Amino acid sequence: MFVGTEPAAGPQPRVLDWSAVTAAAGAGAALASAMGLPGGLVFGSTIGAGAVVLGRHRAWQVSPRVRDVVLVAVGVTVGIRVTPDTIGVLGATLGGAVLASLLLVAAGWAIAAVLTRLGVDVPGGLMATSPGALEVLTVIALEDGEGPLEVALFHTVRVVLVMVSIPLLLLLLP
Amino acid sequence: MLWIATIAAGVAGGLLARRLHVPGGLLLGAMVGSAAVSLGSGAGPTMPFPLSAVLFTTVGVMIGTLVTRDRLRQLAPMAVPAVASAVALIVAGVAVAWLLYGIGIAPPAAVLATSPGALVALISAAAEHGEGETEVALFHVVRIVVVVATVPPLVRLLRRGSVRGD
Repeated sequence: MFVGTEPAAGPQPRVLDWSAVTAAAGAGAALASAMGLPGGLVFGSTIGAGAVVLGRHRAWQVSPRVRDVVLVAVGVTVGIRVTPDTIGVLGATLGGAVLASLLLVAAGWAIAAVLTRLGVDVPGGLMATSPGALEVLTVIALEDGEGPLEVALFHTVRVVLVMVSIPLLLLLLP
Repeated sequence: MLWIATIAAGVAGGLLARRLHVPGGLLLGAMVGSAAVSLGSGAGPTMPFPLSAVLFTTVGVMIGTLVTRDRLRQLAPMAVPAVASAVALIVAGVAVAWLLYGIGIAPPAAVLATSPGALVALISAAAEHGEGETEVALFHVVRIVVVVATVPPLVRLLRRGSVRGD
């Protein structure tokens, strides 16, 4: 499945290498999911695959064809959430939901701008500070070659901190 | 059958959007194509867990295979900005909830609905609180769709602008 190429000169990863990476990624994903970690599949498989690749001195690159399939598949996973039921139930609250989402995107933009102003150059910028869509934005960062590791880190920290903040948020409810 | 139609529409939408040079077109087009089938058929298919597990594990492989010691060293200084960014987004979510209360369009459990992430945990919290789990779920679906539809094109527009400015 993963016919890899090195982004720079160096030995090509072999089928055996990819098998080890896939096995480690699967084990990492299963373990993180079993532990109930948010975004566990992506987080666990990243750690698993990273642990195998870290021993080598060069990053590998997944075949562009596999990347295209993943992009389409991730798009489909978002698209199938839009059903007549969701549109129907949204009805009166659609305006509020869209407004809230746009304001959160604007907040992410402002945070990226403040970080830049403070001299923190985050590769992936706005994609890292966006309020959601960990898997989607990480895949887009991969496609663009713009800080996929940083984008994944920012989103994982965001999801973990939101979970930690839930008791506080519940206190704010009327 | 519904799955075949959904995937075909996703692939067609993705390829069309890429052909039209839409920023993030492959993903955005697939989203629009599959949403069209989902809306037209009356109920979208549910992705079986094994399939989503393979998909998201593949995403993890794509990220994990980029990890080198040099990259890890570069990543370390990002920890504090990542935490600061997450805290700022959570505070922004609370502020947005207050704004919605102020203008009279807040859903039940608004602070959970406007929180930036952790969909499943927040729905469970709303259910435990006894109100607003449907609205919380819908707000989060809209948030994800809005982020996917706006952020990648915005990033590419900004990048194009900065290249021209250089």
